[in-house]
Amino acid sequence: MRKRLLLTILITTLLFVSVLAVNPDSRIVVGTDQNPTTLDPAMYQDLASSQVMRNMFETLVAYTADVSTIEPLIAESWIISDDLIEWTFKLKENVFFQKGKFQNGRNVTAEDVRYSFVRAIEDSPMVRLYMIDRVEVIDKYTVNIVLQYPYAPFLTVLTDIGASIVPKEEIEGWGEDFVLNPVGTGPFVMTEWVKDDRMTFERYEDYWAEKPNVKHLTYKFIPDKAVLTLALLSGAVDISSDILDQDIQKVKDNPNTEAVMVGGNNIYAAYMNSMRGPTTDPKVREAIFKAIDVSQIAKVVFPNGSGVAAYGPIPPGSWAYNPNVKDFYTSYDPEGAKKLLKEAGYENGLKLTIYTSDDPNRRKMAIVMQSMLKRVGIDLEVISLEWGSFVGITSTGDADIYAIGWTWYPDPEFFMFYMFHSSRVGTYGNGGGYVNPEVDRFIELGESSADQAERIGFYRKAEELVMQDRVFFPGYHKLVVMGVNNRVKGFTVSSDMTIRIFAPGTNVYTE
Amino acid sequence: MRKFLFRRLLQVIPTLFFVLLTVFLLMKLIPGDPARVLLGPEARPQDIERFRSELGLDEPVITQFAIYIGRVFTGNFGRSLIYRQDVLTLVFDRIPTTLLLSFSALFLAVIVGIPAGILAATKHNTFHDLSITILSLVGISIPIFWFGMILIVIFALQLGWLPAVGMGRLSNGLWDVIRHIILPSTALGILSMGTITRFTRSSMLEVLRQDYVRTAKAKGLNRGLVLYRHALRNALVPIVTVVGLQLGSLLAGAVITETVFALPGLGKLMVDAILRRDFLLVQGEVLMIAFFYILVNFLVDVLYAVLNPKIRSSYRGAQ
Repeated sequence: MRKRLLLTILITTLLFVSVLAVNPDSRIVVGTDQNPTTLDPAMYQDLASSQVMRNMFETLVAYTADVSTIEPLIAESWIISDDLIEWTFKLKENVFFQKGKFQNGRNVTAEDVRYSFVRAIEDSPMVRLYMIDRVEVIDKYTVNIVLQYPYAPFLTVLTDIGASIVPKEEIEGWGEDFVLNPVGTGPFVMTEWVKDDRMTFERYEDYWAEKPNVKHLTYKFIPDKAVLTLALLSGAVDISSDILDQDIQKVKDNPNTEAVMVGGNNIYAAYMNSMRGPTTDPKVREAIFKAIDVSQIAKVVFPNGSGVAAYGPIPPGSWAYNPNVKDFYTSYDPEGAKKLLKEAGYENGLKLTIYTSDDPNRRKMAIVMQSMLKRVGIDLEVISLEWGSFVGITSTGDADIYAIGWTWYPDPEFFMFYMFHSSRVGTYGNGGGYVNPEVDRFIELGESSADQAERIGFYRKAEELVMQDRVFFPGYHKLVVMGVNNRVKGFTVSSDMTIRIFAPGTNVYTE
Repeated sequence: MRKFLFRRLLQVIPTLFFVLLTVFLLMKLIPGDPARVLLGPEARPQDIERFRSELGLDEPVITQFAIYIGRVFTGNFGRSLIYRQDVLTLVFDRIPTTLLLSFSALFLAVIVGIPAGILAATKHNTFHDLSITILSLVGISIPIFWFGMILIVIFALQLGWLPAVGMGRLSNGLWDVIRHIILPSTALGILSMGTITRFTRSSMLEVLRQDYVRTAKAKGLNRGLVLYRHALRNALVPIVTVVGLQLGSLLAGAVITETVFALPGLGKLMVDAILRRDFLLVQGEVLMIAFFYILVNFLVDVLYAVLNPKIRSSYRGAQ
């Protein structure tokens, strides 16, 4: 009994101390290597913009910081029709916009959801939410979203900052200048934006829910990743968005900082052309698969371990990841590769071109492939282009092979559909022009099933077929590596690279 | 002189026109469709087509250029595609940073480079001359990128004297601005410093060998007077040219410096605009930079005339 009392006292004291340790007016500086371009959710297209917008805008639902579960945010609950066409959301009644010039911090209603989504569909150059047919207001706090076709990952789509709820008065009042005077329902307000330099936020004291511990939040934009690490080490920033593989040890050695790594939701691979050129021959593709030892790529590109070998397109962070994916295709066998090339009529050698972006990791991957292919008689030319040219050439199917990089949500749809569905031919995702009606069918089944276990089966089947067609040579999955100063507490590195200072289950603070 | 000024100014208009035409065509020639780059990797072909026609990119190139030129003449440079803001506002926001960076780098280069060059020339073939020559060669050869990083590691990380990155704010006092600009302007200025030193040295050496300098010395004139009134003044004409030209390379180097030190300047804006195919922003910015560059060249020409009476009289002859 006495022991129990002591324990209770001890725990209470510990709790008390830990509560005391939270600085309710914490100040945090985040350093990122990318620059936001807009603060209008409907207009954004880059991670850097969505990164900062998370502080001001909110969505109906949101991911937890570990990107494992989707939690209610503005929505309180939802009902999905059996055919996955109608999604009815009940909103929380106590959500309010921030005070702005054109409205005085009013209550968020179903009409705002309708307005925001219609605007995102009509105005967004990105054509987000394209699967929505119409949005119906049922009552003040209930909204019904009707889709054009069954779409299981719709909840994931709604976590995207592009689906934020925005106030009509402010959008229309400010017009084009809304980007400089953003107003949402979020816990922070933007106080200053010096483009290419910094953006500062202050906690919104009238926030509708539990408030963040951070009072002053600054984003510093430092384009060079090596300099970004120097800024972390010197204490100029508390969290840095990306640490280069070669800088990881430096960050670990510093007593004030830590390099935190999590598996990323990404895939980097060599996509082969199945519309034109020598790679349309399955024997050539199989020879390439046999000529390259995939386990070596990650080791060469990431000597400090910030990347792992990939065996299929679905990353390990996804719930549909298949650990047995490498069984779907033949492994490293250079002699077999030579034989296949001979059969295909290339005994005197074959010349191919791989395009990569100016991302150094992808360039290294291409060079490793080049040296391995040389041994079986394939002369691979590596052409590295800046993003605009790269995306132009690869999307239209003008590359024999291109080094694709793809990062998104853990739902396999965002990998399988965008990279392998025949409707995506002509886009960067399916720049190889891959068409397989069976793959299409399984992806569509995956989209239209409500049962997660069943969906896993469909996407894995599609993945298996893709790997057997050998159009997509997987390279590596990059880990997300962020540098964090020890004074920052309660921060979780997210696999989607978003820096979440305040999210369902997360409230970062300093002592 | 007045007529000369007027004529020089008149030349500016066709120059700017050709600059604009070249940039316009270059932006058309580089691969990568603005609509595709802007809409991102998920964009479908039909979305890209729709966006292209919204931007007027489906018109013939000549028509596009004519429309653009027409707008520029009315002062409308359009809205940036990535920032969705007025191009001129974006450019003008960045000008102070780049000017501050370039001019403080040039200032450093001049106040160190010219005296060092004079010293090397007067102490020709001595230890001083040799060390100055070697140091200036190092200055010319050092990559800005690497040197900038080294400066950050030493002065921000190890010693902690100066901030690593970013721009100071006037609201925090002048000192805040100065301490933020010291490292970037040193990194950027080192190249020009080396060039100016070497140029001053050779220019001075040449003048010091002239007969009139020897005569002046023979007359028993004070050494300082000979050096500054007779030699330096004549040596300065080519030096001013080089200093003027340095501004061009400083603007180019500012791109790298701004990236290393995360400064919100024109260089960074330009690189981002090109990479994202924000053609309106690129065109507007190039026009502004070209205008500025032409202006500097013009000022250099005027300065020649001030420095050298011979050039002044040749203008008169041109009437």
